[in-house]
Amino acid sequence: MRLVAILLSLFTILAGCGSGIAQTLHVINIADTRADTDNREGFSANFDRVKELSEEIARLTNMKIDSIAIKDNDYKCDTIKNKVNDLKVASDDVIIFYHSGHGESPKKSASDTSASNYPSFQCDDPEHPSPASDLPNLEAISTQLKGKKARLTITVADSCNKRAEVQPEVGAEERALRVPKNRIGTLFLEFQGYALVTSSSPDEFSYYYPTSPALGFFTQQFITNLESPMSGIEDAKVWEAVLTNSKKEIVVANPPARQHPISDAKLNYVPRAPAAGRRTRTKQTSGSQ
Amino acid sequence: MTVSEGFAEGDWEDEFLAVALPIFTKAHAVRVFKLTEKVYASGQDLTLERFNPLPPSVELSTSQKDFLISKLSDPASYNFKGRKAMRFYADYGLIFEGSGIPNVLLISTSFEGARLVLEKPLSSRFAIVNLELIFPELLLLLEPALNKGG
Repeated sequence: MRLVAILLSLFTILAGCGSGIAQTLHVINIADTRADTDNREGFSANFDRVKELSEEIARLTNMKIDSIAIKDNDYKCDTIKNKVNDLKVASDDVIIFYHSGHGESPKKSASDTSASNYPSFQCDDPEHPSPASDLPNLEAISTQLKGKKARLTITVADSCNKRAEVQPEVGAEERALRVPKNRIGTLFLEFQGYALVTSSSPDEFSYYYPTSPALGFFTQQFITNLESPMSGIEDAKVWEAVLTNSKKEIVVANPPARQHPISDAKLNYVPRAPAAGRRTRTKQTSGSQ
Repeated sequence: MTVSEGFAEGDWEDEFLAVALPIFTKAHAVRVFKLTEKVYASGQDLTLERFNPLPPSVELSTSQKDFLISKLSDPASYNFKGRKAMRFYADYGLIFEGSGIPNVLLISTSFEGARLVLEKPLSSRFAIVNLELIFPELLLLLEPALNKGG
């Protein structure tokens, strides 16, 4: 009996100290790909890219993946709210929430300080639109997800916030060559806290490439930054670098066709001991941005 | 007019201008109307039937018409480099009277763009265009025209 107890204790310790084995990566990947949606191709391309990235993160970090996809006819405000409400997480888990769809600013004017700087999602019935205050809002969702106390919560939207030196499109071959596997591990295993990111500032549009692969300009910039080699940056500052680079002005065409992504983040670097995967120290690296 | 569903380089600008330019340049009169409530116009198969009868409208003066047509006929007025992640709700419309049936260009102030509406469906992928590069000028033309006529 005593031996069984010892073995159970040992198993529990090993499971808890393993390098990411017991953790879950919860990915709420949302795209407005309903048949009648204009820019359906762009949102669909974003969905596929986020899915690809999530699977890559899970593979490289040994996290179990919990994929929650909301697309096609499931794309509804209630579904988004319910999936966020119902999400159950453990304290060492990671949450990625990514919305690719139409959005609008909840502000009544650019100078309105009473409403969020982050967009709300146009996920209601377009023929019978809901009051703006009833639409799911990115910042409110971020707050709700943070309340679930996962280790790391990343909340992102590639949606207009109204009311891009265009970056060269990156081919799959080039992308495959530059995935820096060690940095993905650092980004998603060795940080705790949250990041709230959206593709444009209040009163700005967000644009998607009009031709294949049809990604959002922001999504391409953001995911490229997540995947880009950051060899000159110390581990404690990789998220700061990702967020700083992701906020670079996106020039689509002449003014005013420009986007200025915004973010808010509080991310603590919590490196794990190489052998046991234990966290060893905490250092805050990113404040509100 | 039916435009094939495709997704190739240059399609958007080419398809829109191929359909729209003759409508703009052959118009002998242009009328403007304001919708009493915003109309969702992002759908794929929107046709003129949705706006039958057309709302009361005001005819633009010759100088206003010439200015508008010169702007809308200039490819540099459009931004075909990116699609917006925002729904198109129309609040104004322009009626182009040429030979045959009138054609409508819906205007959205929130989207800062336009949608061409014809007798037959034209996919929203080609029919919705960005006009933010000239939008302030466009609005400056529409509102006074309506006020003068109203």
